[in-house]
Amino acid sequence: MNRACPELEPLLLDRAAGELGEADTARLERHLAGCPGCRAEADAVSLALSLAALPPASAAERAAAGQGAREALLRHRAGRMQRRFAGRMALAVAASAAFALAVPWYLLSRHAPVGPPVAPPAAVDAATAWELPDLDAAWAAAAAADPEAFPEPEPEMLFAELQEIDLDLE
Amino acid sequence: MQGSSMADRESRAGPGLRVLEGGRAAETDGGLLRDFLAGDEGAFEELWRRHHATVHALARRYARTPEDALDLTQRAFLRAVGAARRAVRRAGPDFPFRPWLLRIAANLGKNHLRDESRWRRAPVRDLDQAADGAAPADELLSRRDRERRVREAVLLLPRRQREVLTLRIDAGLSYAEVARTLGIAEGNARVHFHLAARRLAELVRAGEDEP
Repeated sequence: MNRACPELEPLLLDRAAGELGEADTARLERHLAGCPGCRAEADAVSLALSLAALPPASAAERAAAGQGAREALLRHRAGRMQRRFAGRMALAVAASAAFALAVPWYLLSRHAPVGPPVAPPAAVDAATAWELPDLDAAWAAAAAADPEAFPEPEPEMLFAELQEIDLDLE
Repeated sequence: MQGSSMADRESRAGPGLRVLEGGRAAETDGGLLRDFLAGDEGAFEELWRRHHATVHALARRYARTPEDALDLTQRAFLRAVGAARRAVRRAGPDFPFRPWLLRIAANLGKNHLRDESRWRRAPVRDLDQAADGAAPADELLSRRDRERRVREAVLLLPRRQREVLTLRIDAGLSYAEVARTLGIAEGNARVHFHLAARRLAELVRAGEDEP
């Protein structure tokens, strides 16, 4: 099998890429006419690139791509709104978290001892000095109370209240 | 006022370019991008008009269906304009939007390939069109089989080789444009193209040697 001339191989590849200048192209074509090895290499590279190349886009594909700007803009707007929403959600979550942390911190800091110890207030003294009262004495005092102070309700009054309730139900 | 506006637009367009009344053909990509980021959706449509065909051609390489290709194209544009916000503020109307866009499209294609586990089912098969009807059936079948194998091999090339090759044969970029797009030297782009093309040619030759 004939091999390509090594020094010309880069030019063969440039030729296949369509990157060869006019002068070099003319010179190479003259060489190819008389060198089967270079001719075979040039054909193989050209064939490989033609097989690798995609078929041209159909008219429908080209039309769809040409009109794709509007859809792309819609996607752009949707993405922007989504980002804004996500940003606001993140802000809301951050604010909630800050609030949730701040409240206990504030409450704790209010009750935390600050500065030198101070004397307990009078209410604390009273609470610590409290003792269970004498319940028997309290009961006896209640039994001795005047029953007239708590009169029985009159029947008419009860009936009137009942009527009012009925009216509300109608 | 109008004069200064015209001058401003002309300076954005660069010397030697004239702004057509009612059109935006002479505005630079960077200027359009800046306008779009300021809320002018017409500027986006002009950018799309200029570059969608190249991006779409690149996206088709990685897509299984026409819908995939269009989706990739749109995502490339959106990612490109979104990611350029800070860069365009610094570079202004001279911002090189096209290389930026194509590089993002190539990256998205690569990611799509990675994420798409079914790509091995010949990703471009659905896009394929009927070949020359005059060819005999077995020859046609053979050609199709070879296309499938070579196109799969393109997707298996090392990353840089694949990027260079697809920017050249799909997007139609010159070595110089490929180099600018990928941020590499032109000679480097040429070498990567050579390596890729040689590898594909070896594959074709190996296929011909099979019984």
